[in-house]
Amino acid sequence: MAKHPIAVALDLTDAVAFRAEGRACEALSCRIPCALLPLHEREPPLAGVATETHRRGSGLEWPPEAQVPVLGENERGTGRIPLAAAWAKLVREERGGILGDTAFHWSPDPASESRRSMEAATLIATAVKAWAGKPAVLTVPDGLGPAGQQALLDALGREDPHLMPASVAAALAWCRDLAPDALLKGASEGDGKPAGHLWVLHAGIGIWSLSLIHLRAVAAKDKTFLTPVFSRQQAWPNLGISGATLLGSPAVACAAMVQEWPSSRPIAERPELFLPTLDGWHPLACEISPVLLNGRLRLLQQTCRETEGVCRGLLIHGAFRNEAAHLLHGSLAPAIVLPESAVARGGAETGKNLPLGLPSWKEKLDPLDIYYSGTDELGDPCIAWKPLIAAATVDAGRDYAPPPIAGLEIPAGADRLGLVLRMGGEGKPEYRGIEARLERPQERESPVLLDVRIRPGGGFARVEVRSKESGLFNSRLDWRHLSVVDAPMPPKLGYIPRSVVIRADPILWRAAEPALREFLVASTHDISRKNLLVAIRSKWSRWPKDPHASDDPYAFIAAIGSDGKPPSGAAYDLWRDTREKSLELWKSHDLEPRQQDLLRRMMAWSYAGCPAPMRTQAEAALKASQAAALDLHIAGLCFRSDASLRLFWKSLAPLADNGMATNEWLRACRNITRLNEHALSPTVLDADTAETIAHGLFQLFETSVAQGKSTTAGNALESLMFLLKRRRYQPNFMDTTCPVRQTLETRIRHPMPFLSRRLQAMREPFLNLLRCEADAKDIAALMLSETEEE
Amino acid sequence: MAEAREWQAWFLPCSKTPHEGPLDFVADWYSDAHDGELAQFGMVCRREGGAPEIPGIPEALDLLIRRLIRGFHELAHGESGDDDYTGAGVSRRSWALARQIWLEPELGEPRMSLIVRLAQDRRLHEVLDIVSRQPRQVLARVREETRMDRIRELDASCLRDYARRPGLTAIQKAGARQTLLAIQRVPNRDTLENRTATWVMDRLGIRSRDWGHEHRAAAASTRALAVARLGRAAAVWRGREPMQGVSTRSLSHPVQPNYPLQMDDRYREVMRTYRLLYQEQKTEDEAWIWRRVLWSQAARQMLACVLWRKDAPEAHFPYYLHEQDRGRWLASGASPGPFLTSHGIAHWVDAAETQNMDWLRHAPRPWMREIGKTGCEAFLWWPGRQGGEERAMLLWPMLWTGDSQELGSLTESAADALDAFTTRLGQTVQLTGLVLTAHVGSGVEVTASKKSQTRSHAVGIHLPMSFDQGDERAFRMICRDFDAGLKQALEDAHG
Repeated sequence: MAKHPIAVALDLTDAVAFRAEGRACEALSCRIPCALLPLHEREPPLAGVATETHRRGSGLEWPPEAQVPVLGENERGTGRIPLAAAWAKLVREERGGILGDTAFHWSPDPASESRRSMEAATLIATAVKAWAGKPAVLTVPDGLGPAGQQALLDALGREDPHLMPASVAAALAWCRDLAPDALLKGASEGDGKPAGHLWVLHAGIGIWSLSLIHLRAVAAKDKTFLTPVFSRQQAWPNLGISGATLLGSPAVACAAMVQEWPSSRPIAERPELFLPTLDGWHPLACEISPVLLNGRLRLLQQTCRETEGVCRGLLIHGAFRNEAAHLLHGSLAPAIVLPESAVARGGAETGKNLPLGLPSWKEKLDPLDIYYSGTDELGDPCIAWKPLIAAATVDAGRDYAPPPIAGLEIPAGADRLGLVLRMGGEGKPEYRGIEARLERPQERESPVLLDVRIRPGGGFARVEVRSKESGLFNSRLDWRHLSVVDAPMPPKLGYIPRSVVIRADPILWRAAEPALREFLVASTHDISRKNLLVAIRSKWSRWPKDPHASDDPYAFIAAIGSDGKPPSGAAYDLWRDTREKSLELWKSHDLEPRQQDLLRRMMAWSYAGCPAPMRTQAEAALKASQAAALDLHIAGLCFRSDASLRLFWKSLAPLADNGMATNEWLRACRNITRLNEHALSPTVLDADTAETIAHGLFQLFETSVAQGKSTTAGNALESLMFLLKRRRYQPNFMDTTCPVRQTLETRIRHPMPFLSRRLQAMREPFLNLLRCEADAKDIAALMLSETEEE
Repeated sequence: MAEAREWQAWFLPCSKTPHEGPLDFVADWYSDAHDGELAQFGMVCRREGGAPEIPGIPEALDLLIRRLIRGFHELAHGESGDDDYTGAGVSRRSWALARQIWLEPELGEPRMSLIVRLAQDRRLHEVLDIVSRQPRQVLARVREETRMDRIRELDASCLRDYARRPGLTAIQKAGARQTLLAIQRVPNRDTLENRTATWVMDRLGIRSRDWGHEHRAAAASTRALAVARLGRAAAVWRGREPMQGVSTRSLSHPVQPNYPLQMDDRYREVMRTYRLLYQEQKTEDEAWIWRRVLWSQAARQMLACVLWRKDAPEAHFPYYLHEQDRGRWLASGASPGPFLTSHGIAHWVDAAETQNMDWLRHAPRPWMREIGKTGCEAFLWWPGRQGGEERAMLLWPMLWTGDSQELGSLTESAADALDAFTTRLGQTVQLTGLVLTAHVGSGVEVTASKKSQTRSHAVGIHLPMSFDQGDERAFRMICRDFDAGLKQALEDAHG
């Protein structure tokens, strides 16, 4: 059997550096692990054993190099940077995958203000190389994000060590040494069986952090393992407390520190001066009052209570573990204080298991979505997201590689593929832009596939962009060019995508109620009935914007909703009686013709609620090509079935020739497209008829303009505008090659003073719609309401 | 104590010009407020020509300067250890290496130096051999009286001459000899590239001779044989017929390489060697001018190396410049210390570091503000533990070319300066002095001043200029005496 070399794990996250090799674990440093900034330009930093005894930044009276700060001037800083501060900077400076300024500076030359700088990741990487050469596992703070991890791996610049969150390493040490055997009962293969959770508090010299670690009992290779599961979303990397400013009393903390770590004596002497101001040390400074601390603790207690599952305890590790245990008094969970070397030993355990393919720890990945221009359930263009990384739980040391993501394209001539990423899911989305560069511009539109590979603790996901057609191109997402971008804009539209929804409004209903009641009790030959019908119709035909949905351009209100129902509640009986009474009157033929017409016209305003016989009469009239204005009124407001819509479009096609009741036809056309979602679908309207109608409407517009008929011209224009929805089903409908569209565009571009003010305001949005460049503002302008008047 | 005032002191330059016997050297001096002439009398200069049979002070000084340059050069460019770093213009080294270079050198084999490297360079030998046999030549245009049947080319001057001649036809103008002024093409080897090659050959000869003289005790060593061989070869190359007409007098330094020196393989090698040799010469010239600075820096290095201990509580690294800057080889931030002495932690306060800052503001103690008045270049400072008395030992590194009998008076003079300063200061700090000189004698001499009423006291440690020229045993003895002298000085400082 081949022997695996003993894995080395390194822990540089706290006040003492530990190196674990198998079961053996040794403290490497007797001072706080530090790195020394360079004295000269382009000099590498010093780390490792050399920093233990080096005078730089050790707080001596002389020479300036050893002073803290140099020459007593805070802005000059100090050349000794604790690694805890470097970690803190890497954690703090990352925002949504973008790393900010993580450089440390000092001005060692008394003769000038020139500064020597070094990135935090470089300092840590130098220390890693100096202390352990090539460790198999490197423990990192829980809050170290992918950008920080990547910066660190880049700085290490060779075979990557396995980066492992410190809390996971501590939890793993507990699982191996202290966990009761009962937790392993019922262990299963794969994801394992849930075995409760642990809270892990890192009370180190740096910023304290808390993580919730779920446990799973996993069976593999005839053995059972208790495996911690880490989720970045359940980690609080900054509790606002640091070992260096413990309990809001820096002097106490520093006095304790200086006993153990002599190099911290500059802090101990003047903590209030050094911590917040010194460049190297200020990431360790926290301004926290007892009140604030108590508030934070209460919040954590609540979180603990709300967490599902059995809590196995609160693990506390780090240099200030005893102080933290005293501070918490078991308020979160029963405290288990781990030895200082626990993190390194947990790391060594992982280093031992990974090469053997044994379970070690798991990470629940943060979801990451990629933007693409998709379509919604109705087929309209919309903002759509594909998961680039799903919220999956992945075994440490293994790659997570979902199936390739398809559906994206590189346009012809483009030499790069720009992508918009969404982090944090839909709850707290953050948007980032990134791009993959291609070797050469693509001659034609090329569909691409995205291959994603991610490894817990391995920095950024490796995303390969390749052409669907093999061999055309192959590139990688360059995370260094990740940038903050705004949320993607909704796609530009070439038609009004949604149909109008009219909600039954109680106030508008109540306005018509007295007239309705009178109408129900009025005698057959009551002379007032005519007036009552006019009154009811005038109340029902109002169609204002919905005040409760001001952002929705498609939401309107009326006395009766577009579904043919009144507002819920007591109104229903009155509506039912009105409907029955109207039908009865209409069937009885007792009414004089004028009242008959008024009754039909009134009932048409109940949209889908219009009695079927009235709609059937209108259909029959259309079929016989004898449709009067009233029939068209009913058709526009009440037609819903595919058959009736098909009939309407068929009757409308020769409109330009007959010239009868033109405005009624146009209004009906507009209302049908406005109220019916699929009024222009191929099932009810074929391509030729659609072209004919568009041509006819345009001709009508031209004739009306020539004859000075402004109402007809306006109605024709509005009908054409709604007719553009045909593009949903027929993308080339009225495209740039269409002569009607070209002429119409020219007409609209010029002022049309004969149109109403409302239509004049719609000119620009309509033009955008015609060019397929309309945005939400244009759509809102085009959907401006008006009370329907004849 | 009176209010502190700022004073400034300079190292004075010396002459680099070779001169037989002592030289009175006068230099113009300008500053913001004053100007004038600075005259230095009886200055020791480099000797012109070869070394005499009985070496004198100039030869001893020359050896010392070369020895110090070589030490710094090795530190700046030599092999490096784990924590060492060689960067742009500056190298970081360890004190262990510095100690090895200054106090524990390998004396069995002559030190590696540029001339040894060149002597071991086979390619250089081949190139110079070929160049000396077949130097590149150009056809120079020369105006000469030429027989008419051989005229090929005339230029404007020839035409003017032709017009001035009596006669109407060319035959008449050619006169009895039937010659006219015309352009002739003559082969010429006195070109820039050949002059440079000649200079290189000459310089190799001189350097080989000097190096052989310097290391005559190890004449049988491999390196010495190689250098001697190079010296002989250089003489042969220079003496070859094609190189006879090439003169280096009109060569102006540094040579700006022409096309052959940049593009021709052979001459490119010549140019590379020229640059190395010229740089070496320039370094030596500058070291002669700033010899006092050079010694001051070397003396401080040697003192720090004696005081340095591996188990020191606060380690640090020295930084060296790749090229000297007016005798200075130590980069900023390179001052040593603190040192763990038998009397506690001693900080090293160096004038090179304090001169760049607002010393009146940043001096660790008020009494240090005017310490520069004593003319010291550094001092060791024991801050005094738990209310104990503060102590300091001031350091005067001096390059002494005078009579060795007067070394004692130097120490007394330092003690007088301390006495005067301490009297003015009051009894806030106990001051002693250390004078570290290089002198012409053969062994280490230690002198001590008489103790004054103020307990101010100075010790002089006088190192021979040829301190590592002898055998290993003699060198160890010098080091031991140096160590003993320093111990005495430290004991006196805490006596």
